[in-house]
Amino acid sequence: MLRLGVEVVIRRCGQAAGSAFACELSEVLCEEMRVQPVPYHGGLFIGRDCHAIGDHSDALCTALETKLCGLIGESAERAQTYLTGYKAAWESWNRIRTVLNRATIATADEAAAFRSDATNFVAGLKATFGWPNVSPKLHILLAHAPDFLDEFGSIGLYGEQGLEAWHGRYSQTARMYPGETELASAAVFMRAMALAGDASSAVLERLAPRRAAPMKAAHKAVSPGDKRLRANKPPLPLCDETREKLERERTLWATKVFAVAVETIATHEGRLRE
Amino acid sequence: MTIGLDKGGDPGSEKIVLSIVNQKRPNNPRNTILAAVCPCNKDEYPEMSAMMAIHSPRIDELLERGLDVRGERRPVRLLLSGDFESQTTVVGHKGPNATMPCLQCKSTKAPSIAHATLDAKYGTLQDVSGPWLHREADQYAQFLDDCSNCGQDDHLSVT
Repeated sequence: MLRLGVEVVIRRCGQAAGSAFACELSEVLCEEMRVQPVPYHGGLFIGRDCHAIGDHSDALCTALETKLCGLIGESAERAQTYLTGYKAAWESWNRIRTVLNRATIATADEAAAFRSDATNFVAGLKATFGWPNVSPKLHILLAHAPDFLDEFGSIGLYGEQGLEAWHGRYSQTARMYPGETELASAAVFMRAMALAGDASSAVLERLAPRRAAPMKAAHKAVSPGDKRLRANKPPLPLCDETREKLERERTLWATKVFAVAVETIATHEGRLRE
Repeated sequence: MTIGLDKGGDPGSEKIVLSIVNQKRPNNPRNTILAAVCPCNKDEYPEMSAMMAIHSPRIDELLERGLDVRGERRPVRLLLSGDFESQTTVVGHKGPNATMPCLQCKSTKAPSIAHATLDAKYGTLQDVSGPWLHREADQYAQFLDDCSNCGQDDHLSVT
C-alpha cells in the first residue's frame, strides 16, 4: 500500500516527484506513526508496524492528496480517481487487518464483512489502478481466507507467533546448552525443552507469569496535559550516530520502494503501449 | 493441531513447532511443543523431511486414531502454520514462484502463452472474480509417493 502511493505519484507526476514522495513518506511514517524500517527483513517494516501504519493511514492519504493537488485537466481527474481508490483501499484494509490478526473467534457478521472487504480490497486495487500484481498472499486473502474464517472461526489463532517465540527463546538460551557442534547444542536444547514440557504442576506454578492483568495494572492518562501521553513526553535522547543510522535506513527504504515502483510502472506502461 | 516450520533466530536454525489450537492462549510457548531444531542456512524439503522422520508416523497415527480427552475419543485435524514459504516446504510445493503458486487451488500465476491451456482451465491469480478450482486433497501425497503417474495438470507445482 505504501508503494502504491509512490506508484500513483510516478504515474501522474513523473519519477522526480515519485522519488521525493518516497522520502516524504518515510518521514511521515517516522514522525506520525513512529515506525522505522528494520535493517533485516529486507529493510522493511515488521511486527505491529502494519497496525500502527493502518491506524494513521489518514496521514498517508493527506500526503498523497497534497502531492497530487497541483495537477490540472484530465490528469487531475485521473489523480482524483486514484486518490479515491487509495482511500477506499486503506479503509477496507483497516477493517480486514483487525479480523485477520485477532486471536479470537469472529462472529458471523464479522466473517461476512471480512469476505466483502477482502473482495472489495483486491478487486478495487485491480479495477482502479490496473497495475498491481495479485501475489499468492493477496490471492489467498481474496479467495481462501474468507472460507477458512467461516469454517474455523478465526485466522489469527492459527498464526505463527508461537513459532516465532521459540526463535527468541533459542537465541537467548542457546549458550546455556553448549555442545561440540551447533547440532549437538541444538540436541541438548531440545532435550531440555522436552523435559520442561513434562514439568509437574508445582514447577509450572513457580514459572507462571506474575505480572498483573493489564486492566488492573494500566495507568491511563486522565487529562489532555497528562505526561503519560506520548505527545506530552520529552523526546527520547538519541546520540548522533543512532540518529544518522535511522536516517540512513529510512533513505534506503525510500530508495528501494522508489526503485520497485519505477519498475512496476515501466512494465505497466510497456503493456499499455503493446 | 497445527504444525509450523520456520527459519530464524541467532544462531540461525530451523524449528518445527506443534500446537493445539482449541485452548486458551494457543500461541503461548508453554502451550506449544517444540518438535525439532536444526542449525541450517536454508529451509528445503529434504532437510525438513529428515527432521520430521521420527514425528511423521506419530502424527499419522494421531490423525487416524484421534485423541483421548478425559476418556472421550476426539478427532484430530492437522493444519499448516508458519509463513507461506514454509508451508510450501512442508507439503513439497515448489513455492510462490511456481506456475501454480497457490497451495489450495490450481490457479496459475499470470496469463502466459506457455500455459494458455491451464490458464483457460483453472484461471489465473490475476483474475479476481473466481471461481477457484481447488486441488484434490490427496494430490501432494500422490506426488511424494510416485511422480510417474501424474499428468501435466498436477505436476507443475509439486516436487
